[in-house]
Amino acid sequence: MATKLLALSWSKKSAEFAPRINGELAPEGTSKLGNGPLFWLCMTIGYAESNRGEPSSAQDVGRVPEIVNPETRAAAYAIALDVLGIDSWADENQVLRLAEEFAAGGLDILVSKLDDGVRDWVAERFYPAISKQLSSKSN
Amino acid sequence: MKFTRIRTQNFRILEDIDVDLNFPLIFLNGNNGHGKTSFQTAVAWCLYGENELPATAIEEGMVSQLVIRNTPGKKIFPIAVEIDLDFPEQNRKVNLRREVDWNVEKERSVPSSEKFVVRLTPTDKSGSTEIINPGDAWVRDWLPMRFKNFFLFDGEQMSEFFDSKTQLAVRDAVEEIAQVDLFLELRTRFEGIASTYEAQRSRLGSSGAQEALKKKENAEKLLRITREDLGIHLDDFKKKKKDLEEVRGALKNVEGASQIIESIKAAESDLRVKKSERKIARARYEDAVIARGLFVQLAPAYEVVKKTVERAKAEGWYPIPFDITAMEELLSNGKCICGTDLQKDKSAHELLAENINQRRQAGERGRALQEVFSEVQVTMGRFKIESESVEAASQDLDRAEGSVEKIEDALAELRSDVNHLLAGMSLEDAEKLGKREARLAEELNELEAKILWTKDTEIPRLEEALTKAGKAYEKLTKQDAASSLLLKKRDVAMDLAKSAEAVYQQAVEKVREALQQEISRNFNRIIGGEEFVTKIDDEFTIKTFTETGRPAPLSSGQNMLKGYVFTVAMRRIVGLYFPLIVDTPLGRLSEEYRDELGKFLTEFVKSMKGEEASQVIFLMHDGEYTPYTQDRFSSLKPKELFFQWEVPKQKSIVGEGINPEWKKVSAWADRKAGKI
Repeated sequence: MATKLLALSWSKKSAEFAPRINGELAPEGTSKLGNGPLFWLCMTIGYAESNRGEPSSAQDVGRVPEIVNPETRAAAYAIALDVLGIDSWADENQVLRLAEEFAAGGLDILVSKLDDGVRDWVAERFYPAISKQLSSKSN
Repeated sequence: MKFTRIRTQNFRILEDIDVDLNFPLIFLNGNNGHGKTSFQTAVAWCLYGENELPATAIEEGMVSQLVIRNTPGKKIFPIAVEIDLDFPEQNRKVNLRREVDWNVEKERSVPSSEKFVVRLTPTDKSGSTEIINPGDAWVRDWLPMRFKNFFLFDGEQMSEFFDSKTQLAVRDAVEEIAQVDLFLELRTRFEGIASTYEAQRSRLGSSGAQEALKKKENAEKLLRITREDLGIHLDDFKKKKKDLEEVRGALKNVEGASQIIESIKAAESDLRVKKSERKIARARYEDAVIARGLFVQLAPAYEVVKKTVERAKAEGWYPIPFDITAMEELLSNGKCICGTDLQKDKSAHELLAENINQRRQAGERGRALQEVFSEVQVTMGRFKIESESVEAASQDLDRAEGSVEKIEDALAELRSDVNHLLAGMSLEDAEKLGKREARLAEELNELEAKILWTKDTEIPRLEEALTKAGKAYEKLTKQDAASSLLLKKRDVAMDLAKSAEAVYQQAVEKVREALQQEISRNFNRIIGGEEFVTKIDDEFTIKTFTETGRPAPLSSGQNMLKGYVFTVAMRRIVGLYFPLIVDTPLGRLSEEYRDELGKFLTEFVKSMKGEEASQVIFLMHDGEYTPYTQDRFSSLKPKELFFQWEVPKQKSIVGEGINPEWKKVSAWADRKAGKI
């Protein structure tokens, strides 16, 4: 598999909201989620919603080493396998490009939910079986 | 004594009426605003003039508005009320006529226009008519104003009969009956004479005597003031003691509440902690759910990986196919293992090269797939852990919710207990009450000390000082013979003053005793049943007790009856049987008590029948004079009259019988229809 560093590039449209989303989704006892987990979350949301956004250009990208973890990389390849087929694995750039597009799309969706409560939306929208428990405990 | 006729001219809303009143019992009925109060006001004005009119009578206008409107430009109107009386006590017929010019613009009488003339004609017409002008003196003698409230009154104000205003009226009336003015005058005169002798004596004596007199007078004044102050302190002490008892009663509950309030504070603090723990548990639960949820969303992609692995296995490129190095060596050597010369046989060379390429690609894919699948398996392993952490977080959240609920329930119960104890009092008020209790207790202690000091120390000291001053003065003045004589005269005058005072007290006491007995006897006779004792105390308050001496629990009807019995008792003691004119005699009583009072009044009127020429005029409205009332009084054969409001004329006239309008409605209509 490719060893190229996976760069975190935020969506062109929603880049300025990324820090706020990071804070809103911070786990208990912390102040922010972290760029790595946030990338993984945005990519998953974009994939689940089939929403590809427009990542920033390469010049805008800040390299975030923690993205390079095996779990995220494996998820990106799995997504590429599902969406583009195994032939896409021959081109690592294609795989990573797809991952970034889904991450950008996922971030755009989260930004649109800022006013209603990002955390609640993520919990309720994507995990129906769990959200039932969650909403009854939230009341 | 009874009224036989009344005539009015321009008096308020009454038409210029001329009504025969020569009956022992009259019901003169009318609805509100039809003339009942105007009738009573006319009688009061005729007898006593403007000073005794209620303020409302003048405010509402002494002359009818219709009369004013029908004579535009006119400002002065004559008003007159004329009453004929039978006065058997004096064997005379009396005519009273009061008239005045009334300025409707200024709402007052024209000065000096009032005339009040009394004409006295012997009943047997044996002599000529005596004219008394002005007649006020005659009214003062025979219908004194002090008695007005006891024969001319509003039944709705009967409950005020026993309040402080009436106490004064009762005292005045009693003094009038006892003719005590003379004795009071005598007392004052003799006290004045004694003072004169004293002053002369002091002038005769040495200057030392005058100074001694001043000292004595000062000592008297100081003692009097101190005694008055003591009285005030004692009243204050009584009142504050009562207040303190009430406050302490309320505080008993507050004490219990204080302890509960401490428990509430502790529980609220606990609750804050538990809510904070619940917030953390909820956040952790959400985190766990989100983390797990990510895996759920990636599950389709992971499933594709798994299926691809299976396909790869079936196609033989998972795991990685055999090493292609040997094949590459063959290619570079140019000879296949089957012996084919690869350099000469180009198609075989191409075939092998392609084979090698395909296997290389499959190998790369297989390796990549292996790496991805391996990582996916690790991830799925983590998924199990995440699931467990969701379960654990869910249980933690349940526990936290349970703790919060438990404390909230306990708090609700505690708060309910506190509210019950405080009985609607706020915590702030409870604290204020506590402070008030402490303050009152302190004030009482101070007051008690002051009272004791005044009684036990100060007053005896002042009395001793007075005695010394008096003796000193006596010693100085006794030395002079003329002074001695004046002293004797002074003492005689003081004795006479005391005697006059004693006679006054006896006279009042006699009247009060007589009144008391009269009221007690008649009240019991009319009510029947239990024997009550009615007393008039030193302050002329009329109170009723049971035989055991406890305050009698009288109903509203019985209390009103007591008022009626009192008026009759006054009449008998005075010996003047003036007519009884009562507006709304059944007062503001409810249906039940009206019935009760109605029964009493029947007996009451019957009891008056024994009096010579007694007369009762009841002014009732339709709610009071019902068919039942009519039945009750029928044996007494009353005269029924009614005020009729004439809409076009905007005035009231007096008709005979029952108002035909009443017969169309309510109980009268039911009676007519035979329903009752």
